[in-house]
Parts: sequence; C-alpha cells; structure tokens
Amino acid sequence: MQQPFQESVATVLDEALRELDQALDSERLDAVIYAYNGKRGRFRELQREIGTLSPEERPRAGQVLDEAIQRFVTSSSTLAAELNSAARTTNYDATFDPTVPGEPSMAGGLHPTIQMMYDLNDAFADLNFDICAGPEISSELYEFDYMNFPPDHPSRESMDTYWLRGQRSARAIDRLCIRPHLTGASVRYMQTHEPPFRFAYPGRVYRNETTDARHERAFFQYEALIVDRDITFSAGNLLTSTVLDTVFGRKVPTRMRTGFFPFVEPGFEIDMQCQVCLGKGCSTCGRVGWLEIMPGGVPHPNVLRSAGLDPEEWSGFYVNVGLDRLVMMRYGINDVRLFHGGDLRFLTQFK
Amino acid sequence: MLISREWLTDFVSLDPDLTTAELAHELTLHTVEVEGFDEVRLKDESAVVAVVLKAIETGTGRFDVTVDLGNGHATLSTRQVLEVGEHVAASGAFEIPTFGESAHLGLEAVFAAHQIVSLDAYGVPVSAPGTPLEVALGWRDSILEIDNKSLTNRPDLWGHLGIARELAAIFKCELRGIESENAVRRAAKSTELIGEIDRDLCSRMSVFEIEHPGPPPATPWHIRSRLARIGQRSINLYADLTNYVMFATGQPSHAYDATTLQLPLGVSRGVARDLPVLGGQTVTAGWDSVGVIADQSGPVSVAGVVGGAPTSVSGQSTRVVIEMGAFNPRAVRTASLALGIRTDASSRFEKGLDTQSIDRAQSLFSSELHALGGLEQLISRWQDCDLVPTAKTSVDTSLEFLNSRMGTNLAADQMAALLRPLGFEVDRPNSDVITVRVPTWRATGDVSIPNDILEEVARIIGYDNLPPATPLVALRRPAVDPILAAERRAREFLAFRMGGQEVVTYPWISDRDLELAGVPDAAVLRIETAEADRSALRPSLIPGLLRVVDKNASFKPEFSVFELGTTFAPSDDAAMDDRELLPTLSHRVSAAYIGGDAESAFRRAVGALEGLGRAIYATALEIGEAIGVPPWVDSIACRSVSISNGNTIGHVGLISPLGVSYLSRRLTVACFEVQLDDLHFQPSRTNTYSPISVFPSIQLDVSLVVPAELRWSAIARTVQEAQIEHVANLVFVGEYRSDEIGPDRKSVTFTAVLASNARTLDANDRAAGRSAIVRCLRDQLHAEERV
Repeated sequence: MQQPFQESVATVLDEALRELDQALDSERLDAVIYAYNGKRGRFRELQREIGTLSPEERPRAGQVLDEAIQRFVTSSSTLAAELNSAARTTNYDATFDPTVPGEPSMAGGLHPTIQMMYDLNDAFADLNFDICAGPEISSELYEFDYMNFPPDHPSRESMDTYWLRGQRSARAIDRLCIRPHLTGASVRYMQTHEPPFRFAYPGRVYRNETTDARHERAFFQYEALIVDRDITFSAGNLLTSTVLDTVFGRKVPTRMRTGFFPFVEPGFEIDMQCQVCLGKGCSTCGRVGWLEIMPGGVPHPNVLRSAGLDPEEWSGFYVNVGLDRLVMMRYGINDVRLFHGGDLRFLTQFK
Repeated sequence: MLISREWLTDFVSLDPDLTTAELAHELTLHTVEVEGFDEVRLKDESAVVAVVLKAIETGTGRFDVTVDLGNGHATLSTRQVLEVGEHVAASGAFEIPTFGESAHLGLEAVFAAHQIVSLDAYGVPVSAPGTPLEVALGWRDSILEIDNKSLTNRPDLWGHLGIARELAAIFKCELRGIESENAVRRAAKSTELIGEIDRDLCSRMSVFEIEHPGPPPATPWHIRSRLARIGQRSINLYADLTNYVMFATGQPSHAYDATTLQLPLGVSRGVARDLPVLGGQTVTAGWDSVGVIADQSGPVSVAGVVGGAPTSVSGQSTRVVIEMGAFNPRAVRTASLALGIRTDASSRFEKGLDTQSIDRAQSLFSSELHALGGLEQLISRWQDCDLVPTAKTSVDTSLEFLNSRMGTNLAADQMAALLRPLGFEVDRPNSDVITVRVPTWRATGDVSIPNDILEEVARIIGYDNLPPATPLVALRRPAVDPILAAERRAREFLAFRMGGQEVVTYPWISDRDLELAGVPDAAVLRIETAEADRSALRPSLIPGLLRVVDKNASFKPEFSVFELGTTFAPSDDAAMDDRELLPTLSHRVSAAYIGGDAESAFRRAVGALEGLGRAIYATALEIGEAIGVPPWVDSIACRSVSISNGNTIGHVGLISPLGVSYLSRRLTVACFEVQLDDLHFQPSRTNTYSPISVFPSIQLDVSLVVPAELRWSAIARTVQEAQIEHVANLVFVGEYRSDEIGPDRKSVTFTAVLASNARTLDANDRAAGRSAIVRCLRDQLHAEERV
C-alpha cells in the first residue's frame, strides 16, 4: 500500500473532525457530513482512489478508509445528538443583545374615528345588518319634513343647519343642506328596500355652531335602525350593547330613560355608566355616575309613513351615537377639534 | 331649570327616607334628566335664632347686647340698634354666618358687616331661641338641576307642580293640586281692562287689578327664600309673586303699575324697537312686526317675552294690574329670536301652555295674597277673554298594541292605574281598546297619538323594567355597498401597505383653495355662512390635504397622508318638479407623499396608485398620458388615471408651482386624487395562479445611457415589442444624471428577468439576452451600454 494514501486518509479525517468541532448548529453539521460523507464527499473520492491501487494494497487501504469513515460517522452522530439535545438552549453567546428595539413598522394608520366606525360596521354586519350611507347633501324634505320636525322647529334655522346658498325662499325638496344628522338617510333606505330592515349608516354630519374643545361643526355619527313586526323596546338593548361592547371591549352598564326627538315616539336617552368612576360619581359625570351617550327610540308613525310603511304593522328602534364623542370617551381625548386638525402627532397614536 | 325639594312638598309628600340622589335617579329614568343637585345649607351650621334680652349703649356709638341663645345667654358689641325681644341671628361662638354660594337673599353682605342681624327686619318667621338658623331661614333644602333640553316637549313640567305630579306617579303617592278657589273671580267683572286681542297671537288673556291704600307690604319670607334657593333675586311683592307663581305652576304673568297704563290692554302685531324692557335692556333689534301687548299709548310689553320697564310695578305701586296670557308659542319664539331676548317666560310660552294654566296660576296668586293678611280682598276688578280654550283630547289605543311594543301582558285596569296619576282619564278600562282622555296641560301637542300613550305607560313602568326579549329576525345575506367596500379597502391599503396616515379635513374650503382645484366659481356649491373662508364646498380633496402637509412638515421630514371623502359639484341633471335634485356628490381618494427627491416622491405616489386598483378590486384602472391636468399638479411630472371607457378619473404627479406656493416652506410633494364612483369592481379577489417553473430564472442588471427625454415607458415597450427570447420582464431600478454623462443624456438602470419553461438558462443565455436587449435599444432608441 502506498504510504501517501494512508496519509491522505489521515489528513481528510483530521480536516473532517476539525470541521465537526466548528459546527455549532445542525445546519452546519449537515453541511460537513455532506462535504465528507456525501455522494460526492471527500471520503467517497478516497474510495474511488482505492481502485487505482495495486490489488495487494487495496484490502489494507479499504480497511484504513473504513476505520476513518467509521470514526467520522461516530463523531458526527455524537455531535448531532448533542445539537438536538433539549439541554442545549442557544446557539449564541452573551454578546447577543436581545434588548435592541424591533425594526419600526412601515404601517400607517386609519383615522381613529374611522377605525371605530369600521369596528362597529363589523359588529353590526355580524348581526346581519346592511351597512350603507346616505348623501351628504340632502333636502329639507328628507332631513326635516319626513323626520316629523315641526315647520318652525329651531333646527331648521340657518343658525343650526348649513343650507346651500341661494335657497332662502325654497322649501322641501328644493331646499338643500349639508346634512345635519344621519336620520334622513333612513327614510331613503326604507323607501328603496323591502321590510323588514336592519341597517347601519354611519357618516359625517354638519352643524352651524361655534367650535371649541367640546363642539365641532363637522362630526361623525353612527346610526342603526331595525324595523320589523312586533319589535319591542328591548331591541334597543341589543343595538346599544352592540355599540358599547364593541367600543369598550367589555359589558358596560346602561340605562334607558325617556327623551324627546321629533322622529321617534317614544324617544329615549341611553346613558352608560361613567367609565372614569364606574358609577360612583365624579366630575366627568357631574357626580351622577352616568353619561348620556346616545339617543334612540321607536320611529315616529309619521316617519314610517314617509318611508311607505304602515305604522300599525311595522315598528322598530333607532340608535344614534356621536362617534367622535365615543372615541373621546374611549381614549380620554379632551378636545374634539383634534379629529379634524390633521396633526400627525395626534393621529399616529391610533394604530 | 332649578327645582326645590322643599317647594315640592307643597304638592307631594315624598318618603323622608328617600335620598335626593335616589329622587334624582328615578326622576331621570322616568321623566326628565336631572343633571345634578346641590344641598342648600348654611356654611355655619351652629348659627341659631337668638332673642335680644338687653341692649345698653356704651357711649361710643356701640351697644352691648345680651341675647338668649336658647341654651344660655351671651353679650356682644354691635353698632346696630336692636329692640328688646327682637329675634336676631347669631352663633354660639359669635362668628359671622355665611351663606352658600347659590344664595341670592341679599343677606350675605349684612352678615358680613355685622356680628348680629335682626331677623324681624327681614320678615323671617318667628322661631324660638336656639332654633338652628338654617331652619328658621328655610335654608335646608336640596336643589335639583333639570336639563332644559329634556323638557322641550313638556310644557307642563316648567314648574314645581308639574314635577310634583310626575313624582306622585313614580312613587305612587298622592298629588295635592292647587286649590281651585280663585278669589280673582269674586271681584267685579270689568270690560275696561282688556281691549282687542289678536287670537292668532293670544288664545286667552286674563287681567285683574289690585288697589292698595298705601305701598304694598314686603315679600313674605318663604317666597323670598324659595326664590333665592332657585337662584332668583327678590324685587318687590308683585314682581316676586308673578315669579313665584310661574316657578310653581309654569304660567308666566306680568305685573304693571296701573298708574302708568292707559287701559285697556290689547294684543296685536307691532314694532317693539326702542322699548325699554325689564332687566335694563332696550329692544335694539327687530323692525319686524312682533306680538306686543299695548295700551292706548302703544306697546308696553313684548307678548310672552318681556315686560316694558316704564310700566312695570315697583315696591311703591299702589294700583297694580296683573296680566296673564296664553300666547301663541310660534309667535313668542319668533319675537324672542327677532329681538334676541330669551326669558323664563318666553321659554315657557314657546312650549305651548294650555289656556287653563291661567286658572291654576290665578288660584295660587290669590291664595298667596290671602296668606298676606287677606290682600285678595284688594282685587278690585277683573276681566277674562278666553278666545280659544285648550280642548281636552282623547286617544284610542289597543291593549294589544301597547303590550306588544313593551313586551308585556298588562290588563287595561293596570294601564289605567299607571296613567291616572299623570292626569289622564281612562274610559272603558276593561275593553281591549281603551280611550285615554288627555289633560289640557298635555293636550297642546305633547300627547295626541297611541305612541304617546305607549310612552307614558312605558316610562312610568321604567324602560329598564320591561322584560328583555331578543328580536327574532329572518336571516338573509346583508347587502354590500361596493363603494363603501372599496373605500375601506383603499384606506387599509394606503395605511397598512403603503404606510400612509389617514386624515379627515373639513368639507368647506376658501376661495383661494378653489384656484388650486381649478374649478370655476359657477361650478362651486356654497353654503350659507357668515364665514367667507368656509363657504365653498370642496370640489377636490387636494387643498385640504396640502394644508395638512404644510402643518406637519415642520416636524416630520418624510411622511405620507391620505384622505377619502366626498367632493361636491352642482348637478348635471335638469330640475324636475316632482323629485329631489341633489348636487353631484363624488367619492374620492387622495394621497400626498412628502420628502426625498422629486423622483422618489413621484414614484411613491405612482406606486401607491398602481397598487390601489388591485387592492380595491377595481377593473381596468390605467395610468397613462396626462390629460386635462388640474392646477394643483405639475404639467410635466404628471400622469392621468383612466378607466376602460377612456374617461379620466384622476391624476398623479408632483405638485405644481401653484401648489408649492400654498406651502410655507419648499417641499417635495407628490399627490394623487382619484374619483371612485365610475369604477367597476370585481365581485371577488382576482388572484391568478401560474405553475411554478422547475427552471430558475436569471436576473440581469443593465445600465444604458439614453437621450435625457427618453421615457421609461418607451424603453419597456420597445423591449416588450421586440419579443427577445427568454426576456420575461423588465424592472426599473433608477435614473442617473451627471456632468460626466452630459446634459442631453441620462443613465437608466433596469433588471431584465430571463426565464424558460424548457430548460435551465446558462451563461450563454445570459450573454445573449443582454446583447439582444442592448442591441434592440441601441437601434431603436439610440441607447448606449454604460461601461
């Protein structure tokens, strides 16, 4: 047997064992095994070399190579068992710093009111409600006449409603405004669909008033209406709890009390337990433990008639909530003007 | 409105153990919102009534006064002259008692100036020495603050009597109404007190005269105290009596000094301008004709709103005329608005009082005169013109209707038992259909239909006490509005994929903003507002978005914002008589990309727009050559967005010099605005699948020097049309300009993707591909490979 063959085997074995020592993870170990004992590995090359030796040398050479391969296999198996052992918990040393901050997300965000609107849309869609929207410009007919507002109701005045210019003497369908509330859209929907109805119609509304931390000219409302035969007042609880549970993520105690709005009879004010003091009474709730959160009620017979429905047969329940106000309560925001201010330092807080 | 719990006891006996908090809670749930309540107490609770035993002048203008405190005697020094036996206020420690902040008794200053104060001089009823001062003064009370908004439809609740009636119904206790005895009607009937009455302005007027032999007495202490507790200042006997009666019954009235009047009084339309009125004002507005009360010389009051000052009663008036009216709510409201004067009286008349309210008010008035030592006997004459008496109405409703809406199973007599304490009378209480007769104080528009009866029954039961029932509904698939769905997808794409922050801006813009939108004035919708810079309804979202950009650029070097909202334009349709013609309202999406160089900002905007179409499931959204460029976008760095019919629905590009002039600093801003209304949407996702090739593709970077004006679209199209073997796609990497390249040339780098479905491509294919691409572009576009 040629001496060089044995030396070659020893050299390859040394290299293989050294590389095994440096293999700190399974991936590296697999690469070493492949490089030495794979189909085209170094040991396979040596096996092919045996064919070039004299017949006398071949048995000894084969034996030397087998021993080397065996040693490599034993070592690599031992190392594999070690690497797969549960006792081994890291591939890194103490120089790895796990306290560095994560890569910043590239994601932007939705406006906080829109976020809340979509959360409520999802909640009402789960209840099999249609989600729709009415026009932002509407007529006196839909916003006031159909809504059972008396002809001299204060909200018809320019000081409350933004009427379009040049319509001072116009009335009903010819007198247009940017909508002061969402409710007019309910009649539009009912006129063009077949009862029973379950629909929500969020959107932005406009009132002609002075802006301050608590008042805005433009703000979002969320309104939902259910109309069916033999709907009882308790249907209101379902709508109310859908809104509040979605916004606050937990059951919020409510109470329903009498309230007056022209388009409902009976009308309700729905109060929620003050979430600052949990009903104990504090400055936020004027010491009464409750906060007025949304009006609602049974559609007035005149509203149902405007929608083409017989009030003897159909009844229902409205709820309407000021969406910006709800967001303010949810997050403790103290100035409603922030919503339309376009200040990214405010808006980007709501991811 | 403020309500005194002590005053309520005139009409209803509430359980003394009922706390004011409980009372407020129940009243809120069943009737009106109680916004809060205050306990009225003297700050110095140790103050007591004392009686003067001895007063000795010390010679320095002061007196040593010995008083009986009930549990002992004390002596103190005062400058006041006090008689033996006089009742005074003092405290055990001789500290000066002070009143609560809401007190308007006028005594605080007196207490502050003197250590001992005569109670007799103020007409405080006599109490034994040692009686707590707050008891003697009637200064132990709870004041409820009622939210006026919750009273707008309830004219009957604007006085203590109405609130007491509600409490009687809620707590199931007896209501003590006002005695029907009315001394006014015992006086001589006159025909000289009331003249012409316009029945459109006034349904009833009742006037009586009181003649005193000398100045009238002071206002009784209990009236002063009660008025003070609800925040009312004492003026003189008759002014106080009219206020007292109003806050008790809800019926306003007015007291005149008869010597200043030229009777009779009439009600007509007239001009009230320049009339000095109570409260020290003069009517300065309103040339319009409003309802006035006039004597023979002209207007003396604005009917139902405010009395004139020159004819009003004073503490020295010996002949007093009391006028009570039932004025038209609409006329009162119109006058109040026209003159800019809103009073306690106008607030009540606007709600629509029944004409019978005058009877209740007169009864109480005469009863209080009687309590003053028989002053009712001084009523010399009266006249009443009841032109349109409020009629009792009735409402028929079925038990089935009431029970089905409430989810209850109440019998008719149970319903009747709930309604009667409120003044309703129920006929046929054992029938399926009941007839509810409505009291006049609820018959002026408040209760007229079965739903109103439903409300009365349900609220007295308590809405939260009605049985819960989940509605049973037929399940069906909810309709999805494609525009709303697209808007949501657009928002989520621009925020969560493209890193934009959504903003919401106002729908109104200034005239300067209109210039940026490029819309002529004739095509702008405007609202009625005194604020000229907010009168135009936006035809574009871009001006508002640029304002947001400008606001934030000072603290953020690179960001993007977007908005989805409505834009407004006059209708294209012709008006028709029988249908509502709404303006054109468009749904738009707009975004702005700020920071970096012009090319990167532009590419971010275009990239977002390219992805938007797919994100919102839109079909055939094309970005192409700029057409009809609006003023906000640069005329060169611009592309148009169109749909399959060729209509342009938006633009994308760097903002124009005009747009830049809107900003307070020089910024690189790229924007797009697209109208969503004309888009068609895929009914579902449009992902497609291609089998994954078993042969890997090759990516080949190519840099070419090309003429400076050459557009990337020409390079991509030229290679595509050449159909070079294995070239599957070109991906733009970037452009580069330098002096070295020259002013008329630029370097363009792109990646060519080479692929084959038949075999693995090798180095020869790579070389062949590069060579073919370079040759193609050199021959057709004069490109040179950059070495």
